[in-house]
Amino acid sequence: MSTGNQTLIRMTGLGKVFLTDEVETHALADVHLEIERGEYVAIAGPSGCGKSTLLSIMGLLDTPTSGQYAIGDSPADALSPRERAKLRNLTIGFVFQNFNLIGDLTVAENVALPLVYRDMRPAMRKEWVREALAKVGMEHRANHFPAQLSGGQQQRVAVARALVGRPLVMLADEPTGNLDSRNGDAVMALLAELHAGGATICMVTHDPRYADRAQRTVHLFDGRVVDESVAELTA
Amino acid sequence: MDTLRNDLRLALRSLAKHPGFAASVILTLALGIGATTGVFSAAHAVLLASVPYPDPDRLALARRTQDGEVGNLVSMLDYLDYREQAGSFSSLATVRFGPDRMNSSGGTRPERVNALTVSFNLFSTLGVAPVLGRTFTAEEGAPAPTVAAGTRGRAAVPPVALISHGYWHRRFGGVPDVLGRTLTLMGEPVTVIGVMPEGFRFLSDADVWLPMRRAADDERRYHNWYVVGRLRPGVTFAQAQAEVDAISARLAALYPDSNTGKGLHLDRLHEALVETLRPQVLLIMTAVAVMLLIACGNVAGLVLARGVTRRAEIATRVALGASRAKLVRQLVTETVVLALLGGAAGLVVAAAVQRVLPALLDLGALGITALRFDARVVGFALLVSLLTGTGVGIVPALRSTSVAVVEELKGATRTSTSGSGARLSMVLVGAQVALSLVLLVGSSLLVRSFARLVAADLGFEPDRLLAATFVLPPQKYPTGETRARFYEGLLADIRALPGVTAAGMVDRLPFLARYGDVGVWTPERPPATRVSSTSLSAYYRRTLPGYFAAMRMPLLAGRDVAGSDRTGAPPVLVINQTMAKALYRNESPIGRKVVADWVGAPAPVVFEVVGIVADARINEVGEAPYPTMYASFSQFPSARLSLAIRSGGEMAALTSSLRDVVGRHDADIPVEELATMKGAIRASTMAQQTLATTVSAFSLVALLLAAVGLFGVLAYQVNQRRHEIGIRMALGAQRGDILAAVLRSGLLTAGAGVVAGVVAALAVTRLMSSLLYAVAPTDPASFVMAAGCLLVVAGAACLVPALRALSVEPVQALRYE
Repeated sequence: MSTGNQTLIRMTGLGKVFLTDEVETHALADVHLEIERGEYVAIAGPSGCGKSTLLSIMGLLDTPTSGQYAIGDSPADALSPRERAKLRNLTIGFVFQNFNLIGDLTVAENVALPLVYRDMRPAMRKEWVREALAKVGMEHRANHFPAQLSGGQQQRVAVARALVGRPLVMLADEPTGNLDSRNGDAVMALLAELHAGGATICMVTHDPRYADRAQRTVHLFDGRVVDESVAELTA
Repeated sequence: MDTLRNDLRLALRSLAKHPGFAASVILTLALGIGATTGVFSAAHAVLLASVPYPDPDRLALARRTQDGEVGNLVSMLDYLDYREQAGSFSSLATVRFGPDRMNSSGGTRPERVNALTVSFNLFSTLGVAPVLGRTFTAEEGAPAPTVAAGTRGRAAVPPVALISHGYWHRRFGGVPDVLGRTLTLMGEPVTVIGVMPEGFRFLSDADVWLPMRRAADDERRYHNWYVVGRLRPGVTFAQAQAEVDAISARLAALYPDSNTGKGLHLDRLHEALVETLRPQVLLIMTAVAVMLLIACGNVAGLVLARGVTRRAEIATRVALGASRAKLVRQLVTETVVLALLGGAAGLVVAAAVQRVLPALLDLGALGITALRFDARVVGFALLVSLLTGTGVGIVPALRSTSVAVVEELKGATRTSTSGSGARLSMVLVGAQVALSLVLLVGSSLLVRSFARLVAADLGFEPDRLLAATFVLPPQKYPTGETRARFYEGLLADIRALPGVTAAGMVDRLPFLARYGDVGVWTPERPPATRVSSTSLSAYYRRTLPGYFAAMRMPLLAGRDVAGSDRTGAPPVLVINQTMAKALYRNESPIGRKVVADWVGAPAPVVFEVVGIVADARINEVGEAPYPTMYASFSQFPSARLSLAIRSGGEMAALTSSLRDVVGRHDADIPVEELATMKGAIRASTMAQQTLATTVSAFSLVALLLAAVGLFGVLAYQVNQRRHEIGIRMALGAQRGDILAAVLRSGLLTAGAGVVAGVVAALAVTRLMSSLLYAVAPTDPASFVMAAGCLLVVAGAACLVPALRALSVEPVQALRYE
């Protein structure tokens, strides 16, 4: 996937309304956001402010009810489910708060999943998986099952899975939320290392300590962008 | 007791909260337990119970053996010798092969009745007394001083009869003063001396029992009598067998022409009577047991799935101090309660199965007209319910109670996994599929066997072929010439009836009158003695001209019997292909001589072969072609002759026309409703049809249960795996990938079940070979059809959960974490 300019993600006047039992909930309203290639952005805010909804739309898991969203050169509004799945597979890597590894699959098989859905040849897939696991220091655990790993190790595997497909952007939803501080720090260090290597990262967090590790922090409140701050990376 | 009451209360409350689950389990078990219970009552009657007579273990059926091979019927003279000499028996009785269809006149209209000729002591041997009157005395069953035509001789004592309870009501309106009334059988008055109890039946349905006299078949070479004996108290079967063996040896020494190599084989009466039923009942019992196993697998899968959703509840109970044993007991109590409810509902299914089985299995041979719904049946259902409830509950209960308490109470899992419970569910489904395949292959084999049976070339054309049988009273038609003239005139008039396209007459029509074999040989190769085993055995039929044309049996060479083939002319024969080949190999038999020796013939008769006719099935559709010879009825006329009419008209109108024609010839000759040849053939294949139908019905239920099981487990798994599906979709899985993954999971399970089922079926179906006609137990088409059918049904069962998986929204699925 290549883009014609440096802006990788562009959201213009984005809104999301949930309708439940005739009650309208405005999860997002008039959000304008751009993320440049190679940028490390944190989206911060209190619980229920719309962080995860924004990330879901960004990750093509959900659709906005208003506004426009484009990733790379591709406007996402008119895409069919099939095209969205393909674009998601090629351009986005996810890291979830609860890791979301599949317990029946080994570490290597979990990491290989995005490539499987890309119909990549097994030999090349194996090589890419090995490289991704090597990047997160989990190569030696390739044949283990998730249940045999600690929380920190599982999240490292989740990160490997997110980056194995060489996506344009890595979306991380509270990646340290289920980890103790030592493992949380280790994962944050890993993300910083990946960013230093050129990865574009967008991370949702409610923890200001981790938000500060990003280049830029977008503050959400009641579904609106209320502030943006730029920090200098220490890594 | 308090604990049990508490467990039951909790179980009922828990099930009431999940009515869908409870209803599914109860319905599934009702089918399995009900069908098993219904079949059990038949199996009990056939395999475990005894004939319904006092001291049944002392009753023996004595069957003739020839050179060690067990036959069935005994000659009357041999029977009389055994009766006189065998001290092991308190009584030894006999029943003539039959029943005989006899003309009964004197009522509003002449009718035909089923008459069984029996020895005077049959009823005392069985231990059955009449409800009115008495049974025969020894004098009434004594040898007749003269021999007349037909089956019975003229007696020195007045002829008497016992009648059945049904005939008493049908003919005499159940009046209490029936004793002493007169029946006219074959023109001869017979006095009613007793009425047998309602439902009494031995070997055959009968309206009338007549005492045995020595008649035309009193030769040792002709075997027409069943022999039943009651052992003296304290005498074992082995001792009795040793005694009859010694008598057989003496008879063989005395009568080498007829008794060389001949013996008598004793079996418990019940065992002998169920000999042919046993494999059928065992097969149906196996089918229904497999069906119950599938139902159990199905329920175990449901319980297992429910157990997974209850892990948090169970963890809470553990945290509150419940021991594992108590939890297992509580969970098993729930499944036992479900099984008991299923068993109770299954009693309705059992009652329905009980209603159809006696007719399907022809249990009448054992004197059983209806299966009893009694405490034994309820007890069996209760036992199966308890075993089923415990069996399907124990493993899921053990699994459900092996929870990681802390993890469950946290409610957090870091990975999405289908888990070992799901794998066990899939194993259960695979086992159900395998068992279903075994049943499907079995039913497929039986259906194909039955299809080949009904499509078999009979050697004649049964379509639109109707049949009737007439018997002339010997007093009115004492000579062969009078009988021949009567039937020739009758046939000519019948052929002239409107709508009749062809008509022919023979003394024994295929499927309606069986056997009747005689010894035959060529003059060049006479047998050493008149013992039948040293000569060729052939069916002997007597026809009027035109029989083959009416039956559409191709005449392959020579000619039919002709009107000129009458008494005084050289005896002629038309023989079938098999007989021609057996006697003359590749030479033409036309013009050659054949010698035949049969009942009543003072000496063997020499025939000239005038024609060859195509082989035709005589007794059973599935039998191999048997040597058969057709003589001219006008040369050897008998009292009995059967009519075959081919007509395009309506049967009722034809019966009426036929009655008119027969009435014009002789008003005392009864004409029954015409029988269709197709009906006779259908009756002949009833056992195969019953098996194919019953096993197929159980197979279809089993297939349905397996499909429901597969659907249930997959639907449950899709529900459990919504999160995983969400992850996969987040990682770029297309809808097709998800659809394929669910279908693959289901079809791989079904496929593994099919493979296991094929292996099991290959082993099991070999045991069915005796029940199959023209189909090998490993018939590839049956296996392919069964496997294909199962995979198609499995595919359909997988499709709905797979489509449901497509509706998973990744955002929703991931949000619930």
